[in-house]
Amino acid sequence: MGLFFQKLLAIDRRWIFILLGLVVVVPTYHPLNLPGLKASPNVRAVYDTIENLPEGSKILVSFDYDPASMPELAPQATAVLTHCFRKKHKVVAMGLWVTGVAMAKESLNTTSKEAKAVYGEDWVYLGWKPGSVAVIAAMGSDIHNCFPKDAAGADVGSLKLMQRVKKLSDFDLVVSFAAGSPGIDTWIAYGSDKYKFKITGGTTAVNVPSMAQYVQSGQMIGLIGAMRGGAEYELLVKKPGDATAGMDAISLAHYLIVLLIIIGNIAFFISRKRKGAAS
Amino acid sequence: MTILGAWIAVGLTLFMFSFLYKDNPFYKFGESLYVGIALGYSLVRLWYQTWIDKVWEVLKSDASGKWWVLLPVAIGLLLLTRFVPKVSWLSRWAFAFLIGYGSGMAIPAILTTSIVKQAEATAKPLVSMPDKSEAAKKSVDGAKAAWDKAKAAEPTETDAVRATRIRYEEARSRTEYTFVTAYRDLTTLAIFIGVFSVLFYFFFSIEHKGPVRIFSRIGILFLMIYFGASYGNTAMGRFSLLYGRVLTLKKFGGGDYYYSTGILVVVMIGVLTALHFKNRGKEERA
Repeated sequence: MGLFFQKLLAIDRRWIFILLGLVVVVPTYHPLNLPGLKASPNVRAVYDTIENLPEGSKILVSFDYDPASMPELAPQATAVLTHCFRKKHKVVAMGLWVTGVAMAKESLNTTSKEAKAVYGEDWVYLGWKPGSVAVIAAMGSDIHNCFPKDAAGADVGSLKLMQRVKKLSDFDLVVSFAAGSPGIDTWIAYGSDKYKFKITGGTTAVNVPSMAQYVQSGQMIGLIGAMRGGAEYELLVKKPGDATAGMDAISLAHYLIVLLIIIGNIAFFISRKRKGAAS
Repeated sequence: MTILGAWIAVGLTLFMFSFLYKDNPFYKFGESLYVGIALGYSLVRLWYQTWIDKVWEVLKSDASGKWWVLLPVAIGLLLLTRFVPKVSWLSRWAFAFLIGYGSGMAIPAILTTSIVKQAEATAKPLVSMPDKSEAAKKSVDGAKAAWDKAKAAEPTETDAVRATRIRYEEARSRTEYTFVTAYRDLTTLAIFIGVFSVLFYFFFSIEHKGPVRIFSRIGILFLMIYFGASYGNTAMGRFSLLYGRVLTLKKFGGGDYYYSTGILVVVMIGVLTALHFKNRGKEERA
């Protein structure tokens, strides 16, 4: 038995990669529909905020992520945009990450087409501007000066929706989907705390512990965390998507990791005990 | 074009995954391509969004009225003097500007956001006192009415009904001492102990022994919980990324894309096996 555990501790890590690959690949091709998905209070807070805004409210959505975080944040963005368009809110989108431009366009095009939202009236995409902190500061006083043209090159002043929005405080809500900095913390430090607007958002799993402090302090309303948060939001808007489909794979991968940690600890302590007895 | 794009996406995903087997030419190619494309893309976007939009177009439209846009350009160019030792001192002007501007922007904002507001949230009363105001009472009545209405509309507790019940319980917990109030106070106490014990753990001006040691040990416990939560979240994040790639492989692996995933997996396994046998002798000699 002791020898078995010693061998287990020295196992080639590629076996673990294969196991992990299997538990992710199998449910992707054959969904198990595991139960237990419920909206957490933080996700519900984001949903309630958007739900309770009067129709036609102006929402700024900032896509602050890159392709590396797409599986976690794109489902969140799509679910939130679906909700915004369904409630007939006006969406102005932009990004602080240069590599996020294409993903923002994809989410916006898909959701606006589904909702039959009209560009320029119901939504606008301003694109990306370099400077992060400087961009937020400039938007605080004059968005039109900061973004004279939208992502497609059209004069921002000529867009009907943008005629109603001049500065950050004109927005009823700012939503940031952030994979790091610049992101939610930047929007809070240089935006909401100074220009006094409501802010919420979603972030990657890695960033959830460091962003949760802003929810607890009341500096932001709710937080959508990782793919799980995206799945919860999809549940609330009753439109299952990539995040909901991924929950089986994520859950099984977690079970496997927990199991491996337990086995690894048992093997470690038994081997140590045997070594101690032998010496 | 879409099909070619799908094959490239699948191929590059498999190239990167091949590192899990071992370092190999596929992985090296994929990695170099990624770095090159990311840098090239960023440079082109920066060129258009900064130089063309903020300088070139502005000067083209009104060169005499907006000549001052050349000032930041000049400051930026001073950074390049680092490469000429004789005049490299000029770059200090650019750095001075960057540091001055950056500090001026960051210090007040970070102080307010990360220290003052966080301290405010930490320094809450440890025991909640009931709010006896009329406004609070009205808020409870309103929340109760909303819950009753939701219950009447849907007898079973759906998510929507549950949300109204939670809102009512929240409102009630502010006017009288309920289970929710006790839970909130307990959370406040946990935050209070957590913040101070962790601060104590990093306080080295007095020796950690006796009660100080016990308190700082509690600080370690809080830190461990934070690290555990961070690790758990990191693992979850990585699984999500893996799932995202698997989803791409599944999406582009069907007949519409000429079975790109299956074909490329077989080709890669074949090439890696051939490489393994080709390099076996060399590796053994090394």
